[in-house]
Amino acid sequence: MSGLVSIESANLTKSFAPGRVAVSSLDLRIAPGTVYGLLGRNGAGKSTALRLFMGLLRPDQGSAKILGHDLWQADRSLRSRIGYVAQRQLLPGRMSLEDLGRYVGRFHEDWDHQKWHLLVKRWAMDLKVAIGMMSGGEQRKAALLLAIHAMPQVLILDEPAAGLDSVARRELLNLLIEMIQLRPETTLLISTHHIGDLARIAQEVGIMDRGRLLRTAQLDDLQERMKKVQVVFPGNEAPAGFKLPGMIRMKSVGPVVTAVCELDSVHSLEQWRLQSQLRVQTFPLSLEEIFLELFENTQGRSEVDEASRGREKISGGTYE
Amino acid sequence: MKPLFYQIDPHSGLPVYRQVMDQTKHYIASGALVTGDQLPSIRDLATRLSVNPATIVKAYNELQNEGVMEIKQGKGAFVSQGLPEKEIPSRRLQVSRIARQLAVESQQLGMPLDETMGLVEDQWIALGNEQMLTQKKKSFPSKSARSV
Repeated sequence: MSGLVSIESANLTKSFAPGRVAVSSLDLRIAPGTVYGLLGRNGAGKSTALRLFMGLLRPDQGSAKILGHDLWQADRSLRSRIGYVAQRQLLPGRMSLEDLGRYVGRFHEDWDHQKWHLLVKRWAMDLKVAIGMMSGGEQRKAALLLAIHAMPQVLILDEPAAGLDSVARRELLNLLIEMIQLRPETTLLISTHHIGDLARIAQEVGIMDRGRLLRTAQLDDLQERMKKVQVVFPGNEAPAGFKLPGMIRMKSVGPVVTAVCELDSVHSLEQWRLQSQLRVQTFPLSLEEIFLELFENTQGRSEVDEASRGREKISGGTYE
Repeated sequence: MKPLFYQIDPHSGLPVYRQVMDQTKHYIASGALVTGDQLPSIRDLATRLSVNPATIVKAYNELQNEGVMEIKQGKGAFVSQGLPEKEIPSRRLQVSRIARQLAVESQQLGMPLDETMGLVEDQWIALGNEQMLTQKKKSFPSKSARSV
């Protein structure tokens, strides 16, 4: 494998029907030991991208590689080093967690069956019950536990928290953290709607919209750069045409200008701060707010007028 | 090790490593942590807060760069010294919030700036006198409570 990249794609493109591009010119590079979160609305192309990486779909153009290999063609033995849990994972319904543990363990050198028993018990699941008899949420937990316990070098999870209650979600988060502590070189690629969970665990994020990667960034860096800035002018009116550096969006009511800016540094607003008659304040933006801002920004620029179904739909949805 | 209560709000807009840094500084500013005290291990804090251990590593490295703490190989992280005044954003922020409230209310009541500042000064001196009195009454220095 190449030393610096464990997941990469170049110009990765896939469409399912003419004019319906699911993934468009996706360029991604994820270093070993990184936790990368993929964000986007439903239908943004996240799952398709992950399936392309896993070699479950053939790209129309471009390439997708994991550990230096194109999984569409790679030897099956490579798969034991890569874990993947799809949104709707189908496990053999007649097998129990005991059977599955023994089966999966055969493909993984480091599989510790005793620890597998302990893990299943810790998650309050039954070793002997057939998977087919379990609830949807439990089947999901079973798939996640199998993938994580195998300790793969690369783990790809598509909406892992979907169908899990809040306790199970936190347990999952802790299990992933445990895995990272045991094997810091593990690369984790997760698509999710749970932005709060992602903020706890991800180092990098990618924001997808209609097949395109709008943005990929270090999470801390993104949060430190994106700020809400409020400028209060003397008098009753803000001057026309007023602009701040890195301004993405602006609203002005009377003398008060409120803007969302991507600032290059903490000194970007210095020239305004030094003007004594102005009152300049900055406020942090949560990852969710940043997501909405970047998303709305492209919505605004696109030809399609979807502005009306922008914020309300998302904030009323599953994003937290 | 002293019991410390860290809390992470993933929706606050502040990067998680900054929250860990700020809370550590806060403990030092308030005197809950003093020079030589050991900080929680990276593993322990990451597990307790359900955050990526790399984030705690980043926070601790930054704190070390700022001279707030020292990482001793194989031993852990320790508070190295008291913070210089400018390094305490949480304290500045808290006081500026109160100052703003004071400024707003003084203006609403029509009290001029110098008179308002005079009152703050009076309170400052009164507080100093009270502290001196209570310190004289105490038979033990407060640091004796430190665990060894």
